[in-house]
Amino acid sequence: MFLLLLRTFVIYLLIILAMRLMGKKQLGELQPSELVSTILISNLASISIESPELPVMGSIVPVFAIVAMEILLSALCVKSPRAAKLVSGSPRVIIRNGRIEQATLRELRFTVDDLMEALRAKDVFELDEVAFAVVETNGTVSVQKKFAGSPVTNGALNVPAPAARQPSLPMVCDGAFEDENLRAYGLDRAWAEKECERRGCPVQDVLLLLCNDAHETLLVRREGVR
Amino acid sequence: MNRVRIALALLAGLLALSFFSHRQVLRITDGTLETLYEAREAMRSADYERAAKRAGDAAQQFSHSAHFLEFFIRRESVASASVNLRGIAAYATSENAPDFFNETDKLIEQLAMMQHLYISVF
Repeated sequence: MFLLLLRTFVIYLLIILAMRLMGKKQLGELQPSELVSTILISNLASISIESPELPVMGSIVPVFAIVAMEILLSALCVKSPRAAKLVSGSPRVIIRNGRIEQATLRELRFTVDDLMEALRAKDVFELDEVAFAVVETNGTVSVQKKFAGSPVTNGALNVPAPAARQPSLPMVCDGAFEDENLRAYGLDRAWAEKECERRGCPVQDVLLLLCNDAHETLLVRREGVR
Repeated sequence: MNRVRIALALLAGLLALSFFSHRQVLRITDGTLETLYEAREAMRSADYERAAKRAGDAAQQFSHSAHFLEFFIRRESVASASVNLRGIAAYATSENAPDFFNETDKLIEQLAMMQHLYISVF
């Protein structure tokens, strides 16, 4: 039982390392090769945990071989558009100028129900609102609405731009300084301490201190702290 | 690019590990097989004391490396071979000579199969 626990612990840490090595892409929407490698890795990892009689190397070696191949394949796809097309395919237009490309739908084995479901997932409930729809290589559908159905923008209404051009970033998080974010907006710890003091909250009692590039701040105090 | 270098290093490491384990598994099993053959030779020459000693040496040699082998080969297979090797020396007498050869034949086949399953592609 102790051995089972130890193997689980080791495999768990190694899989986290494997996922970190493969990067954020793997955690977002998956391309076909990424889906394959994720499924394989999870199956291989579970084999070693479920079957103590099998050698640990029987899981570790193939997992890291898959990780290495996945990284190299994605690097190749970045360098070579041909390789990317071969591995992941190409996006396909399924609605063009408001018309459904029925031949493409048949080729992709996309039913009309699938199409309507994908549009509803993009908050489109009327087909005649859609100018273009594209099935991406990871299977998701991207939609461009017609001008008449598009939401109005601030630019179109000539709404004056706010002082802040960039989003708020956390400057203090759970009592700890976020030095990288402070530097990004030309600030430092002394500024953060002063700001917290101005609001009557010591840094260690701060849950979140947000600040944007216009130096507009928002402070959230930790609960249960006076 | 860092990740690409890590991936290449990982692949190189895995290849090196594969070659290393391949060599070590062969070395350990071949070494044990050689000692078993010597035991059989001694048995044929009716040198029962030497046959028992060599059989005992083969068992000790294998069990010494068993923990290493378990990293790469099913623990049951390694344990089974280890247990079977332990029992051989007891057959190294004139009355049990046919059993000795029978048991060593089985062991030789077992170790050869271990090599085949670990090393062969098909």
